[in-house]
Parts: sequence; C-alpha cells; structure tokens
Amino acid sequence: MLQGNGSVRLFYLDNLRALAMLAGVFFHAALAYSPMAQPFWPSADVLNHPLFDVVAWASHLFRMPVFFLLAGFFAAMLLHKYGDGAFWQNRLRRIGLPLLLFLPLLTLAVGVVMQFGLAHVQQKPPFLIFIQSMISMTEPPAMPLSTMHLWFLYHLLFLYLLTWCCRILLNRQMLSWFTELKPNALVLLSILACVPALYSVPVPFPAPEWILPALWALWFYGVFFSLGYACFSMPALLARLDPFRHYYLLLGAVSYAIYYTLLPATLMPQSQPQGWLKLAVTLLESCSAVLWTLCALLYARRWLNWNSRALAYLSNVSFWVYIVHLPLLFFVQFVLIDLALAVWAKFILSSGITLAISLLGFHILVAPTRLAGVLASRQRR
Amino acid sequence: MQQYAFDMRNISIRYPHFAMENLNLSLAKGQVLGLVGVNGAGKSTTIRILMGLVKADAGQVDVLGYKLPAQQVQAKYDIGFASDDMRLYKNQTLQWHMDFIHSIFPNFDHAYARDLLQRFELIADQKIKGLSHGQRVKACLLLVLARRPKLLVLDEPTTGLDPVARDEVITELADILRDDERSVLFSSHNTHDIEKLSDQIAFLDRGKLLALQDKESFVQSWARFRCQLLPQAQDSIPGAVSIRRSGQLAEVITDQCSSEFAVALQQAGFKVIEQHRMSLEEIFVANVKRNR
Amino acid sequence: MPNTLNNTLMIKRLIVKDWQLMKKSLAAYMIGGVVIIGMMGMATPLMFNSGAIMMITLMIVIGSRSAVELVVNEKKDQTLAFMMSLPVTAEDYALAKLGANLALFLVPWLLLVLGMLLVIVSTPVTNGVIPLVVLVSLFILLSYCCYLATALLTYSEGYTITVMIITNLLLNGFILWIIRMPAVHQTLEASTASWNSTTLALLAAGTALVAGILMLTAYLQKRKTSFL
Repeated sequence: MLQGNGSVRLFYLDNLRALAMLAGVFFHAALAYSPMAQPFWPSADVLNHPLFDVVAWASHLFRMPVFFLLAGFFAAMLLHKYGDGAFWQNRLRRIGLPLLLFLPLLTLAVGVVMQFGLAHVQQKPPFLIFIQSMISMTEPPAMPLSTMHLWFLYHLLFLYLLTWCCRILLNRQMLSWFTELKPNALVLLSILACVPALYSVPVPFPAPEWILPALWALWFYGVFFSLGYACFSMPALLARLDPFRHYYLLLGAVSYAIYYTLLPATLMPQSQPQGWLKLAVTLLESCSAVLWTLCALLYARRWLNWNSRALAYLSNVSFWVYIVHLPLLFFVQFVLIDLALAVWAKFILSSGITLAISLLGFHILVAPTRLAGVLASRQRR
Repeated sequence: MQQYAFDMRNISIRYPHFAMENLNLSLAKGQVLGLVGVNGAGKSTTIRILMGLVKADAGQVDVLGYKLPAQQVQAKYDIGFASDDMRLYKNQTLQWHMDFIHSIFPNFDHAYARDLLQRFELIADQKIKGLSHGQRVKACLLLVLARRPKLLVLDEPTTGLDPVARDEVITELADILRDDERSVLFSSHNTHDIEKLSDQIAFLDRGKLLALQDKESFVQSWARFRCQLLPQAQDSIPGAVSIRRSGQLAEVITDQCSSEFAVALQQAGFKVIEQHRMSLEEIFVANVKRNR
Repeated sequence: MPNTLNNTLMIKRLIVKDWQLMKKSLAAYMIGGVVIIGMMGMATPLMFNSGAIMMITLMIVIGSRSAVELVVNEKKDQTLAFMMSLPVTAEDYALAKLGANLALFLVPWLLLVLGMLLVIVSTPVTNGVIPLVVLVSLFILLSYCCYLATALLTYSEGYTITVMIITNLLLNGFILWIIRMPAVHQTLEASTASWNSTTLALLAAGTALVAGILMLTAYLQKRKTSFL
C-alpha cells in the first residue's frame, strides 16, 4: 500500500495483513485440538493438548484487532487519496462483493461438510452430536442466520458507514482532544475503551457471527479501526510509540499469562467468570489485545518492511485462502478424527492440506479469472 | 433572428386584490430596462410571469425566442434571475453554491467568479448564514453573473440594503453591465438606482404600464414650470400633466416639454418665471398621480 | 445545450442537492439506525422492545424532519426562489422533492423494517408478530406520506405540523386497535407468521392509500398555476 504522496509503498502493512489472514487458518485448525474449545468447535478431535489453547487464544487476542487496525489505516489512506466516491466503489468491490458472493456459497459448503461429518465420522465431536439431536427433533428449530468467518467483512462495512458518519459529524476541534494526547495516554485510553465492549461478552471474546451487527464488536474493533485511522492521519504516531514496543510486548505477555490462568477450563456459558473476576479478566484481555496489536504493527514496521517474492505471493493469495479455508478445514479434520495419528500430525496435516487445496483453488479459480481483481491484492512488482 | 430579449403581449392576470390587464412590455436585445413601481404595482408579478413561475390568465410571453411558461426550462438556461426575497442555503458555503450552479451550467465562468469574489469582497468558504444582507445580495449576483446569462432579470436587488452597500452593489453592477453585452430587466421602487443603470425606463402602477421610454427622452420631455398667473389664465393647457395653483402662482408639469409648450403657456395666461428639469422620481410620481 | 440536458438530469441534481443539505442529519440517523438494530440484535426482550420503540421514534423523526427541512423550510428560508430560477419547472421541482424525501425516508424505513424482521426471524421472538410489525410500519409510512403531501401542497409549517400531530396520535390508536383485533391478536404467539383475510386486507388498503396519496399529490401539484 502507498502512503502520503503515493510514492512510498508500505510493504509491512501488506505483509502483516497477509500473515494475520494466514494465522486465522492455523487458529481455526488449532481449535479442533484445544481442550477449551471441545464443547463447541464443530470439528473438535478426540485428541487435544493444552499448548494449542495457550497459543491459539494468545493469537486470538491480536489477530483480528490487527486486521481491523490495518483496515482503519487503509480506509484513511483511500479516503485521503481518492475521496468518498472512489472509496465506496473500492470498498464495495473488495469487501461487499466477496461477502455477497461467498456467504451463500460458504453456507452451502459448510452445510454439505456437516452432512458429511454426521454421516461418516465415528467419534463425533460434541457439536455434531448436538446438531444430530436437533435434527432428530419432530420440529427441528431453524438454524440461526450466520455470517460465519466472514463476519469481519460484514462488520467492516458497518465501520466504513460509521466512518462516513463521523467524518461528517466530527470536526477538527472535537478530534484535537484525541490527537493531542501523549502516545501512552492514547494506548491507555484504548485499553479502557475496549473494556465495556469485552465485558458484555464471554471470555475469550467470541466471533460476532450473527446476521445482525453486534454492537460490542463494532465498539471493540472500532477502537482498533480508529487507531489505524489515527496512524495514517498522524504519521508521527507510530514513531512515537516505537520506543515502547518491548515494554508493550512484555506487559502484554504478563497480562496474557494472568488472563490465561483465570480462564475457565471449558468455554461453556455456565463456567464463565462473574462480577469482579470477570472485570479483572476483561481488563487483562483488553490490555493484551491492545498492546500486542500495537506490537504486531511496530515489529512489522521494523522487520517486515521489505518486498520479497514469497511475501508478495502470500499477500496476493491470503484473502482467498482465508475466505475458503473453513469448510475445507472442517472436511479434512472430519476425515482425520477417526485416524490413529498424533495430535501434532493431525494439526500439521489439516492445516497443510487446507492450505494446499486453497492455493490450488486460487490458481484454478481466481488467478486466471475476473475474481483476481476482487480478491487478489495489487501486483507490487 | 429575433430582436427582442423578451416580449410580453396582452398579459392579463387576476388575483383577489390585484389585477393586471393587457400588459405589453418588451425589451430589445442588449438594452437595460428599469421597471419602476411602488410596492404592489405588479413588478414582481410581471417578473414571475416572465420567468414562467406564474401562469398568466391570458397573453403571450416570449423570452429569448422561447414561449413561456411552456419552454421555461430551455429559457432558464439563458436567464439569470435574482430577487430581494431570494436566499441561499444558510448552512452551506458560497463555494458549495458555486459548485452546485456549475453542475447545472457547465459554462459557469470560474475565472469571472473569482474576479467577482474579489470585487464584491466575498470569501468563498464562508457559510451563507455568516454573511450580512449586503453580502448575501452580492453572493446572489455573483452566482447569476458568473453564468453569463443572455438575459439578466433582477427583482429589487437593492431593497433592504444600507446606503453604503446599495451604492457598492449599484456601482459594481453598473461597471459589470458596461462590460457585457447582455439584456437586463431591473426592477426597483428606488428611482435613483434605476436612473444609474437603465437605458430604458418603464413605470408600472396597479398592474398597468404607465410609460415606457428611454431615459433621455423622459428627462427631456418632462419639465416643471413656475408661473405667475395672468388675469386671463385659462383652466387647462394642452400638454400639461398637472397644474397646481397657489394664489397668484402656479406650478405646471408637462411631459411634452418644448419651445412650443412655453409659447402655449404664455398664450394660456401663464407667465413663466422659471423652468426646472425633473428628477426621475418626480416624473414617476407625476405619472402615477396623473393615472390614478 | 438545452436540448442535450434533459430534465431527468436536473431532477437528479435537485435530489442530490437535497441529500447534501441533509448530510449531517443523515449521518446522525445512520448511527442511530446501526445502534438500534444492534440493540434489537442483542435479542433480549428488554433490548428488543426498547429497540422497537426507538426505531418507531427514529422513523417519525426522520420523516418529520425531512419534510420540514426540505420542503417547508425551503419556502420559509426563501430558498425556493433560488431553486426556481434554475432550469426546472414547478413539476420537476415537486417531483424532485417527492423523490428526495421518499428516498430519504424509504431507505432507512426499509432497512429498519428488514432489520426488525431479521431479528424476529432469527431470534426466539415468535414469528406471529410479523403481520403486526409490517402493518404498524406501513401505517408509519402512510402517516409520512400524509404530511409530506401536506408539506408539498401547502408549504405551510402550521398545516404540516398539525397533520404530523394527528397522524402520530392516530398511530397509538392504530396499534391499540389492531392488537385487539382477533385476527391479529390470536396469532401473535404463533411460531409462523399467519396472514389472514383481515390482515391482508389492511395491508392492501394501506399500500393503496400510500400510492393514492402520492399520485394525488403529483396531480394537484401539476394543476398549480402559481408557484412562488
């Protein structure tokens, strides 16, 4: 992506986004082998290991926030460079169109994969057993309408709409209160701003997959989106935050360690922390999320700001891979459940096969077609 | 090639407390016509009929070769209209208005608009609600003039302005009108403004056109005589518009001022003491009184 | 030039202009709309009901403010003369006003009604309330058409506000009347939306009235001989 006068391409932003998207595939793959996610994850395996929990929930705290922070940065940049009309045209093509195109297809695909799981998996995960019991009822309840893992596209559209509204309603004077804050005051404010949103949902915060926009998600991810917007609007901000990056990393890690020990053993509604404990857990969660998200950006700025063939390829395929990975992953993990393999082997196999099929799909269905204009990032060589 | 900027023939319209019967008014291309009348004389009604905003009960209106109100859309591309009761959107800037007008009239002249901004001392990024009345009038004129319309219709543009602002507007307008070859219809109840700007002047009262002449003819043909009454003084004089007697003195106003009229006065028993030229305002008042 | 530019283009420009004038209000309505749909989406009875009340309020606010700001105030603020000096006829202008206002109201109205239906369909709220929700929403649209027509035909703040007050009072009466109707009342708790002859007749009558009022407004506007 380009910044300022358009002459400098900020490779680290493209690279970071690609890595955040790919990390999503590994995160979803890990949930099948996570003890905490056993009760609700559709492809939960009979084998699991706590290490998956430690790593998966850590990445969960900053993976999507990083994505929204970058979205805010790019939104500010697009608006700055092209104005409202072109911004909407671009966003509807790159965000709205994929959502409209792939949500029905993915719903269908996940439905088919679930049917496969119900018919062929011997050691059924608790979620499949629950689905089976629902289906066997005389009057099976309707399945809730879901945006699945495309919820981020859906909520992003709402954030763009709110950005448009704020640009009209907020004036320079109102914004100066924020822009004049010291960097660490802004970080603290962001941490506190996330607390009410996170307090209103279970820990760890869930994916807002329902068909209606979730206010907590608009608020929580809106904080990161605004931070990203601010990073573009105030070019000096990142440089001012940079000296603190190691402290952020460390403080985020300490917060996460305490947060993790306070998490319930299984993520069922009845085992959620309550009252002050919930507030403390939420505060730690918010602290890690904000600090690590900033760390990701600050470290990427130092270490990922280069252009290589491999990274260019990754950023080119990442959007497509993320969109299609979930039904593929479920399918592969359903097949693996009944196989006698080690848990690590299952994780590596499921992630690897999912990635391989997704990439194959990219080269057959996307690269040679008009979909490339929608899903692939711009050529940067 | 038609030679009229506009031509109104046999226009009649009737409201509960106002009637206009058989009005005929036309303006040759390139001329500036001043329309003078007291409040309620029918100036605005005439202009609204001319703009196609009001449909006359009878009569024909041609503007720049278009029949109105039927062809008002085409006609309005070439007519610039501003009136004292016209306001701009108060929460928008003058620049917004300029962009809006430009989106409708592609030949909106930005260079000319910038020039007018300077001449009128206006700021494009200022919101309309922050402008004084005088500045608002200037803003309206800027929007109209920068379109470079073939016919300019100004309905009482100086009403409500303080003397300084009025003078500024009139001076700028006179300057601008000299620069351009465009036809202008300018209405006002202020004869001084009309006198400064117009080639031709029309007097309107109670829906009737009282007179239509060029400015010089008015000034030359109208005069006021102070006379001493001789014993044989007659009651009336051919060509006199009014005779006001006061003891042995009389004041005679005529619209046919010539050496012959002075002779006729003498013959009718009125000895001329002095002769005055009349201001447009005096001519207008005399005209109205004669017709009421 | 006059031949190349037709009036559809001018009408479109006038509509865009009206939307530009309402930009700030629109932005505020959108934020309000997102928050309300989000509240209703929390799917607890308290949030759903307060969301529904706020949604009705928001629709009334949007309708009344757009009719006053875009129609009545145009006369009051004397911007009408400015608009009429542009290459438009009185009919074009009225059509643009009708279009701008209807779009301004219909877009959020449709979004909010669809959002509400989505909430009902995808939550434990019984689908039996759908006819009630649809009919109340239609009544709000009908009320809006009534005062928009009044504003467009009279340009009078007094008359418009009077019609607004009357229709808002009637809305409460309408909700009470329709809820007590056996045809509506008995199926409220049903798991599926049940449309019967009464509710369908009300739906048809409401739709016909909306269309009728809009057409009558356009017709009466056309007969006007004096516009300023």
